[in-house]
Amino acid sequence: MRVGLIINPIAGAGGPLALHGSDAYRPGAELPVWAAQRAEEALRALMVSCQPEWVCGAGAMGEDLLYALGIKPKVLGPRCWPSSAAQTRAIAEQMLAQDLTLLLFVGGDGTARDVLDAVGEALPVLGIPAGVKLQSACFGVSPRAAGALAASYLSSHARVSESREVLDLDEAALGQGRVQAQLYGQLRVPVDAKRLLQGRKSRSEAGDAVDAAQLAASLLPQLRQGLHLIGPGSTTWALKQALKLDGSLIGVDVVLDGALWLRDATEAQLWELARQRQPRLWLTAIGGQGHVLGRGNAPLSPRVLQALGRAALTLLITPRKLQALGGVPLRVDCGSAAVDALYAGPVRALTGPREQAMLRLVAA
Amino acid sequence: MENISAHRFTDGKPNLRRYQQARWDEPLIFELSQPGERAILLPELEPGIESATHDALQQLPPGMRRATAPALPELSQNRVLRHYLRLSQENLGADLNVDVGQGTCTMKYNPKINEQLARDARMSELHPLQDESTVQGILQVMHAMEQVICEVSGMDAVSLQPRSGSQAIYANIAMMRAWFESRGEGEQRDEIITTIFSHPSDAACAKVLGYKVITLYPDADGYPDLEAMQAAVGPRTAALIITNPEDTGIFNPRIAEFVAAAHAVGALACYDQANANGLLGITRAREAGFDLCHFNLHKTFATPHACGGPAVGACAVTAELAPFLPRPRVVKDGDRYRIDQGEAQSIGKVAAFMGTASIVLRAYAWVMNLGAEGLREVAEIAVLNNNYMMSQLLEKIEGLSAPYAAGKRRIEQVRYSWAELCAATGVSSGDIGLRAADYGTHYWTSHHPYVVPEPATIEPTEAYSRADLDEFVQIMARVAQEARSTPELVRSAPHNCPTKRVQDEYLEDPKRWAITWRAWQRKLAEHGSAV
Repeated sequence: MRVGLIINPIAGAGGPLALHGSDAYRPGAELPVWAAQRAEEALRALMVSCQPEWVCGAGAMGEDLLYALGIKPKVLGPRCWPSSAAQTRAIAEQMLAQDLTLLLFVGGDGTARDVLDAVGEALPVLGIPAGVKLQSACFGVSPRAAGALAASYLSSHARVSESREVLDLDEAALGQGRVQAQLYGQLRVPVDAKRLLQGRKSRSEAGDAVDAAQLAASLLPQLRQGLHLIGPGSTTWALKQALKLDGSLIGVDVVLDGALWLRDATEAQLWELARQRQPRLWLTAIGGQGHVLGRGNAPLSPRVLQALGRAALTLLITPRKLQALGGVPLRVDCGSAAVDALYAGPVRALTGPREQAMLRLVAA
Repeated sequence: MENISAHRFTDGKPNLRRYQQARWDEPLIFELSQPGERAILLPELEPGIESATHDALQQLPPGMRRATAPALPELSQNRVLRHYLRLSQENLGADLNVDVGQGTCTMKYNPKINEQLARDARMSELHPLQDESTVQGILQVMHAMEQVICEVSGMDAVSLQPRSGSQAIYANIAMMRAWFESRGEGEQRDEIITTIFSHPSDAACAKVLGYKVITLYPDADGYPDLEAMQAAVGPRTAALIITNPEDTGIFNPRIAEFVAAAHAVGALACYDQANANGLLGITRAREAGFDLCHFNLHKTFATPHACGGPAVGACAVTAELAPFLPRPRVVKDGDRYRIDQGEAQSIGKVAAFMGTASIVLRAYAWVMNLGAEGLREVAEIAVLNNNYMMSQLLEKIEGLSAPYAAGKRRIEQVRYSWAELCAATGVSSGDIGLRAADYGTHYWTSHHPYVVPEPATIEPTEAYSRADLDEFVQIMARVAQEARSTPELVRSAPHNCPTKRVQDEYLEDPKRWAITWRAWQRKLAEHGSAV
């Protein structure tokens, strides 16, 4: 059993400088210790019950820590300092050929995107949280929890994983106090099957994807008629799959009478449609943080939303996504307080065939 | 020799139990089978009897007769008895341990005198097809128990026919549907509203009966969201069906407004009172405006849960809905009782005959022993026990919390959260529940989905003493401490029980299921030892 490890040694280093990320961080001669400490916590939790073979990045990207823990790993790539995003991607790409059971990476959203660029959904991947921004749904809740989850996954017979969302936050905008996020893609993340199964009144392990597909199937008759704007995200992706469309995971698609009319529509195109016709709008919330508008669907600008009107909106959310939100209200933050107010309030969300939840949309 | 009682208590407080559950190397009963071995040898049939009865088998239609004898295990009586006694020793249960960990299930003590009554030949030898003149006693008990339920709920009419809580919920929803159909609104009203912390059977039964289910989520304080309720109701709403207190143990103080919101649009309101342990003699469904409610006799009235039945779920309704109650019903004519086949508008039978009469007898005996004041005292002690336990657990254990309604007391149970401990240690609520088994108890987490993260639902009821509750608190405190000091010990629990940690991923794979002996034999033949 082989496990890969990639540490982004400067992950988290920008946090104390209020940089909202570490891309703008300029490393000095001294190596930051934060990411290595977080990685060590996770690995110690993992190695309580699991002794895999290790494959890792050179030097501060994994090799140094594993040696310090008394392990001799297989090392990929040259030592270099300061490290870079390109190097993370290069090592992650080499990991694909290493016959890994699981790839661990240490960092934040930026590192997750680099890993996603290199491996996509080809490998199960788990993030050990060490970054400044941890919005993506691929991290353990703590380094120790990530280590425990990895150990449970590795020792499990079933090794269940599911696709989870990785976000792309615009760091420059974030520095100015605005959050602009797009859904960047999906990583395949281990699921703690034991925990899912506790209590014997459990959901199926296939979980979210099956729930979304069932919900989508029940909506097909409605979707095959008329004009629909289908937003980004994994739950609405199920609608596009049920219609057998070559749709976009991360963009707003326009569907007319069940056929794809516009893939990844622009704000201007949506504005034309919203003004001239009365399309229905299908959206989901972003897993883990609950944004319905203002994260991941920028083409739905205030003027588009105003023209569509609240009545056009149908919200889809799977039970597991709802559970993962843990009571967090759903948020609208489209950039205009007036339009946010238009959409705020109680909303009926579809959660399954003949199942709905009354939820609350809150203006952020 | 060590003094065990000295170890058990210090200053009157119980100490942690040193515990090792019995472990028998016991095969399946099919594997114990010896060809020709018999538990009972029946005497040869005497000619006189044979000529009177003829061949009983010939009276069955040919298509219903077996061609070969069933492949049952062949064992002597004492080997059967030893087999099941050994299995029973490898178990936990309300008569064996402090069983407060099955919150929402209400595992309270089932007084043994009520068992004796139910097993008395005058009860156990009755047959439901007897002439009603020969079963006046049990009909009187059933009629009187209906009056008790009317009094406790404030409702006008009762059916004791459903054999479980879920069946009672099903019957209540079926009655509401029949009521709307009788008014020509059956098709229009296709939505039922419930809350996420109401019992999941409320939503499930509504869905089985063809309704769309709309679930309300809690507001920031953990109460059902009244604004969401008001936004959800409309001309399509058939009913609100709601538990109160909810599974969190929080009582919804605005329940009358929820009922009013349903009534305002012409919908009905149905109260899931399966577990009324904190309410007996204190609040009633009628005063809160409800049209229907139900009680589980095995939750509230101290009858056995009996491993999933047969039990009794008692439906109680207002006079307006009474014609729709399941039939038949017991009716009092002067000083005689008769079985009435019921109204034309009845939803019909939901169970055979009159339901589970022996459970009604047990519940009736329990109520008559307590009296009205005693019932109220049951509720008061259940609430006191629960709040004592909550204060002890939250005071003594770091990393455990009771989400929502901070600073408020709960009714009869609490849904706790180990989220903090789990984040710090990686030990889940499920792990903690299993480790508790190493100290002779256990708990259940929560229905899915886990809205409260890392949940544990504890319900002390009135049946446990303060020493019992202290013992349970002490076990939880020890396991929480172990989660921090030796997390792997907790994650790999149980260690002192006959069954070690189960690889329950297999349970998700239908290809590996073998739910009968025959299926097991077949899979063994197909896959050999790889099964």
